[in-house]
Amino acid sequence: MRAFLAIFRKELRRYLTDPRMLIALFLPGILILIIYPLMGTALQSLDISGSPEGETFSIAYMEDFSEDSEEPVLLTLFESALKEQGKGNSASYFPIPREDREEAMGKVAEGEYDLFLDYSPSFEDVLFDRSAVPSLALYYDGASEKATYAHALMLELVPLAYDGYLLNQDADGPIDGNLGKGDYQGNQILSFLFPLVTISLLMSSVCSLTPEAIAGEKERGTLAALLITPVPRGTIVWGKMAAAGTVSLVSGATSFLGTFLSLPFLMGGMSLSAELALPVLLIIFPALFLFLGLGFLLSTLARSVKEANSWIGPFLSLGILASVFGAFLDLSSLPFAFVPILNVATCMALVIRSEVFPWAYLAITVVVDLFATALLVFLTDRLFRSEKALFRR
Amino acid sequence: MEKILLRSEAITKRFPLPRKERKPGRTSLLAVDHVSLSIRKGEIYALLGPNGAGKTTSLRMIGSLIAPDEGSIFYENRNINEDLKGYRSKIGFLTAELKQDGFFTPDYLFDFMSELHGIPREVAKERKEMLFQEFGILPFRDKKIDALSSGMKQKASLALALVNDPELIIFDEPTNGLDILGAKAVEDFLRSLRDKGRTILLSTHIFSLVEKLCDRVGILLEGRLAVEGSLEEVRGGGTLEESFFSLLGERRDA
Repeated sequence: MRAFLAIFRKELRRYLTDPRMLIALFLPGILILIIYPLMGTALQSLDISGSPEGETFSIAYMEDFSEDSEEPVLLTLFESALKEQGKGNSASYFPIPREDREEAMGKVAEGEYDLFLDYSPSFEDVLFDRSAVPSLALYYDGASEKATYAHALMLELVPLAYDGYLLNQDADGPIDGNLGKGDYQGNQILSFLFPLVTISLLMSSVCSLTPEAIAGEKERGTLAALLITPVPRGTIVWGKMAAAGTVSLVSGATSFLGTFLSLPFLMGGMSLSAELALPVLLIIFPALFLFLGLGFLLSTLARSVKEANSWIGPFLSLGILASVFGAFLDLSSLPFAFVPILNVATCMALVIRSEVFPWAYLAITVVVDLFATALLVFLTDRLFRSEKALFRR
Repeated sequence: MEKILLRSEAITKRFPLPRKERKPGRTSLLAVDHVSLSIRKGEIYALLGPNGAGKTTSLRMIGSLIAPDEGSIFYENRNINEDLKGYRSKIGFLTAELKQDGFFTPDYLFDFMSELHGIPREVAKERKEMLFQEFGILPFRDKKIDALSSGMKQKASLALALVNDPELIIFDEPTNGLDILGAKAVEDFLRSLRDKGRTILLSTHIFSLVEKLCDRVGILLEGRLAVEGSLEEVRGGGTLEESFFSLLGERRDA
């Protein structure tokens, strides 16, 4: 135990006092925390940044849209939306008599009007009485940037102005209230993005640690100094793995936290729910040990850090590929849970997007990954007794 | 007659040849061929031989870094494989192949190696101060190994090889990389170890060092132990160098 702790402490000290190693381990999580909100802000500002500035939109509308009101609700909302943008845009409104409808459409084509709201007679009265379903057509010049923008903005406002009256027949509340706990569309996106990001981060952590841990020591000739001590070789392997595992866990947790905290900023409020965070962590930890075990095995087989990197690198790509497969292909049948690496991404995706929690898939994944890790450690331990592997040149 | 501390019985080691160098009927290199040697307690035993004679491979087997393909090694009449852990706690091994982690200081590494050998902390502390004083390591005890000169590194390696106060010390070319002062310090140190009753097995190709220090000599040629005996016996009335080249000539003529 004393020797195990000595090796564990030495390895830990090596990782935690090497600035390059620290950067490689913890920078991804910190970067995610910075980059995702920035990306989210940029994505959210895309719609606004596409809007013109200091323009006056010419909006025509059928004047018989209502017998009582002076201006359609839709135009009031349009005016407010322009003010909210704060880009100096304004609008002029032109009531059109029904007999001039064709002429107004001609003016749209010529560019005199940016948009023409073609209401059916008494549109708002009929709509608000709920006596019938009236019609509204929006005409614009698709070749004009200004008209296209006015059209897009108006389309966004139509549901706000009128949908409530069309759909909410019996209640006064909003019609789009989400009564469930999840968000189907958001979870679909998360189920692709989250495994991809998580597996990439875990793999990069393994890539930073494992080549150096054994192949690096072999290359520098420092491993032999350990091998001639009375310490059993299995203890050396376990001590090194425990230290790498601890550092990877902290690094993985930092990355996970970074991803977890920054997702709402990236995806406009959508995030992994706290209820799903625990099952996801339950998948991540065995996966981390699995990747570490694989890294250690390859590092033991390799003659140098360079060779270890060249072997571990393809597994990083494989992990990323698995996360893509897990997200896009239907791998939800249980036999796929028995395939290590592939099961990590698939299980994460299923946990996030499934309506019924995949308990069986999760349990198999965790057990299979832990078993695979034990097998990899056993093989590494065997290799540590092999002169061919340890002193290969 | 002094007690035999360590003996090897027909130890043999083959290394597989790289694929490109393999020929029909020749797939491995016989590095050490049935070498049987014996080292007595309290003596300095020198293993002499030209490059590629099998000195380092023999020492690696005796140091338990690698295992013989054939033959056995006995320490105090007990096969070392019966208690490898116990054997390793009684020997110190210094070879160019064993390097110290450049990221750490001699001070930290000494403590680390003491932990691996299970030495009580107080004993380790005392031993560290004594060895660091003896080898002049105190001024650079807190500097990273990477920042040390090759002479300083060799001194640190020597101290680390003695962390467990070994009964048998195996040195592979201990003066390699040292300047004339460093080499003299090692020479004095080997003598002081012998005076303290330690047994030393060293490989070298420096005849003068062997003539000055060693009690017994074994000469390895092409993986075989060509001769073994006391310094006087091996000299055969001439110098060690003459005797060595005479044996080498005979082997080549044969």
